[in-house]
Amino acid sequence: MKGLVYREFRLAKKNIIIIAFIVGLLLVIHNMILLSLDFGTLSKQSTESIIDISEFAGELYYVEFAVFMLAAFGIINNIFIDYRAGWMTFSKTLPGGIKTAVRARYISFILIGITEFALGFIISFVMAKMADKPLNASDCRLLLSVALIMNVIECLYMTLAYALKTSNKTIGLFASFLFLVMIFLSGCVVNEKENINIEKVGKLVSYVNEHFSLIVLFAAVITCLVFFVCYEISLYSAKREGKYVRIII
Amino acid sequence: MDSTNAIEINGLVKKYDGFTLGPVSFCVPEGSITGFIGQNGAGKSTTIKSILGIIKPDEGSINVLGTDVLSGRDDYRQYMAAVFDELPFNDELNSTDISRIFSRIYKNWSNETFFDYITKFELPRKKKCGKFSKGMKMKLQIAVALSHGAKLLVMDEATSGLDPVVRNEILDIFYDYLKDEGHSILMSSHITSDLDKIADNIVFIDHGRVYLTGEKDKILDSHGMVKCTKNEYLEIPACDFISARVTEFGVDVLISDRAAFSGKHPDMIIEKVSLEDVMLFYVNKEKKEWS
Repeated sequence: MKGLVYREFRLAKKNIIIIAFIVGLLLVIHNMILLSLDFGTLSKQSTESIIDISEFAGELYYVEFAVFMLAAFGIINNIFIDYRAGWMTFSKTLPGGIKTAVRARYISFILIGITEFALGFIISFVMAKMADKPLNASDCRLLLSVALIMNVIECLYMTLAYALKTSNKTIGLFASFLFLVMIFLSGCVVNEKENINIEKVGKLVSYVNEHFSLIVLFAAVITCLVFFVCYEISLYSAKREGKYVRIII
Repeated sequence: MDSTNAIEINGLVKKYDGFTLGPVSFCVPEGSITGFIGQNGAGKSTTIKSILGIIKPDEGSINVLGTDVLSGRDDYRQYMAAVFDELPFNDELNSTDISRIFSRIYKNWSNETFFDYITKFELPRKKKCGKFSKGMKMKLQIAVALSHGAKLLVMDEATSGLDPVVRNEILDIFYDYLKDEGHSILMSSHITSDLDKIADNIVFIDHGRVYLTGEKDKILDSHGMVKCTKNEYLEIPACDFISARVTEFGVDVLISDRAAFSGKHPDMIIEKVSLEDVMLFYVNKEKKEWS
């Protein structure tokens, strides 16, 4: 198992470095925006501006956070490469068999998920503080929501990769589309926070605020269940005979 | 189960749409190289995959190193190594990465042995294996297979696509490997010239059935080729030969019992055969006559 987990991390290294580079770049841009705001050069120009950068900049850390959560895609991408290379077949001949190989991948996914969440949260905390808008409980809830949504979607995507057994890059494009959907959803969540109309969704928001701990627990349980179901489906798919399927979209 | 067999297969059956393997039964004696020959689509890979536990047979039993493969136990895999025709490791990995991965998978992994092979095969340690040539990739696979104390190597078309020089190098490695009498190799190939050189035993499979199994030298000694004219061929009863290749110059007839044939047809000269001849003529056994 250790060897296979090491393998996953070693192969995900390139993806993690790319993600870290992108996040670093975003942080630079983010800081430049904040510094520009300090000097008043990017303040609201006119009433026709759609985006108020001065208010928006303080929450850019959501983007960095979301990008950070993509580090786990390195693990998922390996599935396609492994099917193409014949590693899936070869891993069935190793001690522990395919069960150990799938388990190692899921363990790596969880470890990377926890790490990327922790690092993403730290960066968000620092950037929010630099923007003089320290994270409050509501912000933390939203970050957690984004993390859970993205992890669940990544987990489902991983299950799909195992089930389809494809090395086709079209699936990668589909994943990119999912990523855009996730960013959009995250954006909606942010927008919701700013434009919340208490009268329209008041009861739900009040309930969430009052029972947040319970909801977090419920979400965590659901996430664990999703992980477990995805693991079992992935294992079943990996054991299943048959060549990989070409998907043409 | 005979404890001197590295592999024992009894009544193996695997059904697919349009193809049924089996029932197949044969053994791989310990301390030997068994060549598994047959044309493309004969069932070699399906048999190998069943032995390796990659696919589950519909019927039959398979014992590898004393363990029933279908029992769910897999401790025997610590002492078994599979080698395929394509390198299954990710192209991004180099030899050092591979040693780190497998040292954590196999209990008996030896870095010293692995890097000795890497040096012997002149493989670069830091170069990604995706940039290796086909021969280098095969040598890397074999280095991995020989570095964890494996008692059994199972090879599925491992030498196909390699040039004769590399194939010769690899065969020499197998000679060294077999100096330990506890080591065994099952090697499937349609390059019969390699098995002519190295195999102790042969299993010939065609259309999912085993037609021939036994010691290679005995098979080659008992079989023979009779080159005769068409008129002479017509005098040979069908039961006395396996099949006949008819050409404009004459007829080549494969016989399976030189002694018996010689007794019946003392005037006919019987020549030696190669494994390739045996395979070609057995494949056409149903037709009896072919060209």
